[in-house]
Amino acid sequence: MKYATGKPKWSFPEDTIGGVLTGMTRRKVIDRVNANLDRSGRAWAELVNKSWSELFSLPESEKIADEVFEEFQQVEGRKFYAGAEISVLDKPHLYVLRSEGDVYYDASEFPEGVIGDGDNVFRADDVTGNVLVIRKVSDVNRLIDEGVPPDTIAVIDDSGGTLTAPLLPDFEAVICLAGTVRSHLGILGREFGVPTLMAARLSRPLVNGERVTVQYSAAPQDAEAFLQEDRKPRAVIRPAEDGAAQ
Amino acid sequence: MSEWRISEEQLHLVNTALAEHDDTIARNLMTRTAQESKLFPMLPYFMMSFMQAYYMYPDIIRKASEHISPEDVGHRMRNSSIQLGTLTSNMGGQLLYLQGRVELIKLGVLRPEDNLEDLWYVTDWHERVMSTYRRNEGHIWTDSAGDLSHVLDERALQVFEADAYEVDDELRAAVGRFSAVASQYSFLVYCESRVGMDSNGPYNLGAQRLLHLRNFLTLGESGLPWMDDVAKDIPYQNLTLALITDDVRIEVTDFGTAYTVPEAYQEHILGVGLYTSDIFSDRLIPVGMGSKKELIDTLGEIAATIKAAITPLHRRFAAMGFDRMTEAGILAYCYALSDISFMSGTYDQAEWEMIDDRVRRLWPLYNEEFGTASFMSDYITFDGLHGAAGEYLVHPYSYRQWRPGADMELPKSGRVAQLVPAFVLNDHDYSRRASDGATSTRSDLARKTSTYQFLEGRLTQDELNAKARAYTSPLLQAPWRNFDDASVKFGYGDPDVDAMYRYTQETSRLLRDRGSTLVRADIERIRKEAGEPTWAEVSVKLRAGG
Repeated sequence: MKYATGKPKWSFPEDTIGGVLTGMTRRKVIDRVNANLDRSGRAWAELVNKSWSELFSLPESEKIADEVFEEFQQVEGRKFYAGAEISVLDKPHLYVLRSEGDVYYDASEFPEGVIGDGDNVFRADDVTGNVLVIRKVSDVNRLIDEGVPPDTIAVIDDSGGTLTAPLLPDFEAVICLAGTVRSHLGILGREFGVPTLMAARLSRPLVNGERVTVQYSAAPQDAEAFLQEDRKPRAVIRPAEDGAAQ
Repeated sequence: MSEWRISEEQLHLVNTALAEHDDTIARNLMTRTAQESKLFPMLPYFMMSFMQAYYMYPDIIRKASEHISPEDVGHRMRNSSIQLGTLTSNMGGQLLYLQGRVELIKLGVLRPEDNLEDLWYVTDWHERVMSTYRRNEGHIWTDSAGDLSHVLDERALQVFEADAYEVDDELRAAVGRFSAVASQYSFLVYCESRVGMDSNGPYNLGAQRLLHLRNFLTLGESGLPWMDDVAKDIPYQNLTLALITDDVRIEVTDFGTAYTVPEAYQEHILGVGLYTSDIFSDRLIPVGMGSKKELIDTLGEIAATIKAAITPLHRRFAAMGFDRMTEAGILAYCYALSDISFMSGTYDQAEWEMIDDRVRRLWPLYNEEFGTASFMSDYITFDGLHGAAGEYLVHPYSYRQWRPGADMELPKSGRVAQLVPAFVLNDHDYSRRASDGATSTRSDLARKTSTYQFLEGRLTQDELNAKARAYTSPLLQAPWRNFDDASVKFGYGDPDVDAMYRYTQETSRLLRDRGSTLVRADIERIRKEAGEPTWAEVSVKLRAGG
């Protein structure tokens, strides 16, 4: 039996998470492959390995990538989101950092006087310290050279464990704007004993030097609470009573 | 050109394996955290490493299997803590390979019946390895076992239970520091992934006490080119923490990750042991276990050495561009299976630095956002032009999320698995092996120039391959090879069983030459005779606050 059309009897629209892009990309590749197969007049099994470039080649891939990017921008009105800083540095024409689209919540969602909140990784004492926003590899390199200032509460928008790897134990505490208590940064914060909030929500940007008090004495969040709907109250971030840092 | 043909029996076994993989991967990926890194472009390298494994692994496994059987691999994994463990053997055997197959099918450049000899070979290899590795318990996947990874033999577990040191504040701090630094280093070595960490257990020590093992793997100079020089001072390639805990629930996933409730398990640790091993050892070798003070000092020294390697390694990665980082991620992920080449004496560094040109051709498509979107499509939403599995299917995992009376639509009738169609039995008109016509290009990363670190020293590729071919262990030969825990249950008085226990106990500080008749009550007695508390006593003390 041979595939008559290369088109399945049943299929789903790619309309769920990220579906616009997968639909655009896969449709174009599938159409190209089917057209190449028809044109070749050869059997699929002959082409798929030994003559793979006849079925789908690097230049065709490059052409489709360009077409997809153009179509994606028309539909979504933006470049591709990048998680890694290097993507934006290397290919600025393609990417914008996902974290540059930081979402800030309405202040009314928080108790009076609270700047934001987050899921506590483990129970510790509350910490008052100076905010230091770390978004880039260059920030990390500078801090490696100059050292982390005392009383630093690092505000990090990456839940991975590698960006701040050389620095993490030197922070007084961490506020992470992404991830969950099981993200790599959450795991490492717990292992190092560095008080850490994950998935923090803010009503406004935290700025370097700002003094805040974070309620790390709150109960640690249940890692599977998103399934069980029994989330613990989130730990809150407030302006420090002793005011701004010098 | 292979003339191999699939039989009806093999077809059904393959499709059953695809369905089991589907169940396992869907649950694990839906309940774990999102993949994210500000440093590494993770999803492009994830998706392309899957496809690289699809094209690369069958022949790597074939070459190794000319010298060691899948059962040999499974036995050696169980006897020592090496790179190949719960996570990596799953990655090597099915996870990466099958995920690459799914992605290529959904992209339209592969059909479900393609490279069928490879598909049979790899799924069969994985089943044989894992059923040997877990022969004391019987499941292939920890997911099927309720997230329990019961691997080790009683003879090894008794040594860990007996020899662990009671934790005091100083030892707890040393363990915490070591574990934190080693975890952080491992994430960095493996480009933000968990490939370098693996756990097994938990094992029952009675009351509320459990034993589990945490392995930190490939810490030194290895086949990962970026480890050259940076890791030259790391004293051990692999390290294992044996941890005895009180009142902590521990689950070990098929990704080899130990999850605990409470998450902050460190305050519940009662006892600790530290070990090393590699492919040239058949037992876990104590490290710094001469006294509690020596263990504290050793953990501290190793942590300091590893810490010193983090910044130079970070700088090395930070200096790379997008394409090199992506290549590094692909090599790091695919390196999961490298132990079978090391163990079989077939290791060729160039092979592990190659990227198949069929993956290279797709490089422009796998931008960060498409990497993420296709990952979600394959493993979370099951959508796509090639994603449906008929109109009547109910997916076993997503169906669990569906609730009647909540006005919820039933989940899509899609699935991860792309079953092999049975029409292949009619005319056998399918490609056999992906390697037919394969071409590869070496990565653009700096080439490896250093040696490979093993317990037997720093070896060149030729030296390690020669040693690997010559390696033997009595635990791989009959009769010991065939003494599992079910054999010991009634055969503990057999002189050969006793000799095997004494072999395992050779480096134990408290169980040396105790033999095979020991039960857990004997271990408590032996600890008391040695002036050390039983774990029940340590537990009482900890709960009393000190």
